[in-house]
Amino acid sequence: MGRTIGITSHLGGVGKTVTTLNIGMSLASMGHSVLLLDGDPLAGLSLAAGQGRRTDRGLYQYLQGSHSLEEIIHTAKDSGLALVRTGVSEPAHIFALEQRAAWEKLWQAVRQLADRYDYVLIDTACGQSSLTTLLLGSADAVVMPLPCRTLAVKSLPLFLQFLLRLRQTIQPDLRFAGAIFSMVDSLNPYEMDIIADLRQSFPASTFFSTVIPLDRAFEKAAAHGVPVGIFREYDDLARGYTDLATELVQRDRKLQNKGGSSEQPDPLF
Amino acid sequence: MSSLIHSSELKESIALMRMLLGEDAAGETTEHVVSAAGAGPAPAASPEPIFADESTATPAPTPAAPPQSEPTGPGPEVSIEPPEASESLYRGDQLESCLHALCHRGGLSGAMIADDNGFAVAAYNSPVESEVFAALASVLGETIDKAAFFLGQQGANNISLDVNYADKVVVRKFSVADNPFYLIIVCPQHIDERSEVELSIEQIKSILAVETAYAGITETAE
Repeated sequence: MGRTIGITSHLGGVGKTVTTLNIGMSLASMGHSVLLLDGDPLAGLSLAAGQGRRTDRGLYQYLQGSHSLEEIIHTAKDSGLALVRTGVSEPAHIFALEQRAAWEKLWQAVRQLADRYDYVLIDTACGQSSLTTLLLGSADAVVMPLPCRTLAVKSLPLFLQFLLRLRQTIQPDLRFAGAIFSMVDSLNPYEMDIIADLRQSFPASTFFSTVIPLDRAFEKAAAHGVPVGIFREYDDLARGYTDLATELVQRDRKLQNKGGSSEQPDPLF
Repeated sequence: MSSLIHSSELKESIALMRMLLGEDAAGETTEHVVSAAGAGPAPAASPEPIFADESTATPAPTPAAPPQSEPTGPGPEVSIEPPEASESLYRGDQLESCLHALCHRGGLSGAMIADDNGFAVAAYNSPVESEVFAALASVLGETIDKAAFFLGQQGANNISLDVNYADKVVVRKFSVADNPFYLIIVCPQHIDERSEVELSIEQIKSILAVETAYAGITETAE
């Protein structure tokens, strides 16, 4: 059984989709089989991965019963990466998707996908819609990109309460893998102050050590519909996501071992 | 320090985060920042999309991932002087303030910026005389350049030297307007200083890059 990790945030435009795509690419480069699940009805992840918005084979069609799970998996050409799109092509589908996202069927679908892949990364829509709730309820762990802005931090409590509520109600095994400082402008002293304050105030394991900077490369990658690591001149960013993916694997293993008898790493052979 | 530190929202978030993480939340790794990518030459051709249109091939089985090493332990608190509120217009003061922030955030004992000739530009808590420390930075910095000759590693930009059983000296080379500079720091050996160094390099560059910041740069620019 692979691990299902939801990338989620209470805010939009904080880098959830970019983080999902690039961590997925990095995990795939490390040899893992990875499935990216687009959980945003606006299909941000599908667009970021170079897929058109319209498709007749997606989560919507699966929940509708017109396609099987196998039929909605889109496999990348040259890597162990796969994608499940939302299948939403009309505004009416968004409402229908939210309504048809029946708990048991969606949960089973995510579990079946996790059986086939080492990692299922779910890119959720921002906020706390019913689809997001159900998808996170199917996840083993959540990762939260967090911009270093005052309002983002001040609006955090409600979202953390939401995650706690999820754990108390539908997914008792849900773990918090960590928050990622995303879109950091290192030349902005206010952002640096906020990072310093948050690192000082929160439990030490709250934040990933890798920080993703604000960079024009992301816009270029989005324009081409590829992960940023595809561009040779942005190998710094690609290395950063590799570090982030490595740290995610480490943190996730630690979360799995928590409460277990041993925290020893797996043997190499 | 931001205004957030005393906000009720932050305190509430911390309490909720403790509940999410569990009470046994242990110390974690040090920060590691991805440096912003430079404006390199554009690629010759547009990259290929990673997904083919509407293909449904099943994924190939992949090998098991190698085990990852455990993250490093928490960084120690290093006792250094209280921060001085520096709103000065002088570049030297700004650089010292930047070095102070670097030491404070990263748990470093001291830091200095030196130029290619081994002269100190700015220093904070230098462990020895500034001139000596700057000269050491220059010597170690030249060693970095040798890596390209001996190892063929053109991209080497930092060198670490264990100076005793507890401390290390790290020199990070960087350039402003084609003028080489060195940031030299001293810190405990178990600290992963890279992230903080990379963060500060950008700030230091921005200060040094101001036209009047450094005589050599100004001359070069003119």
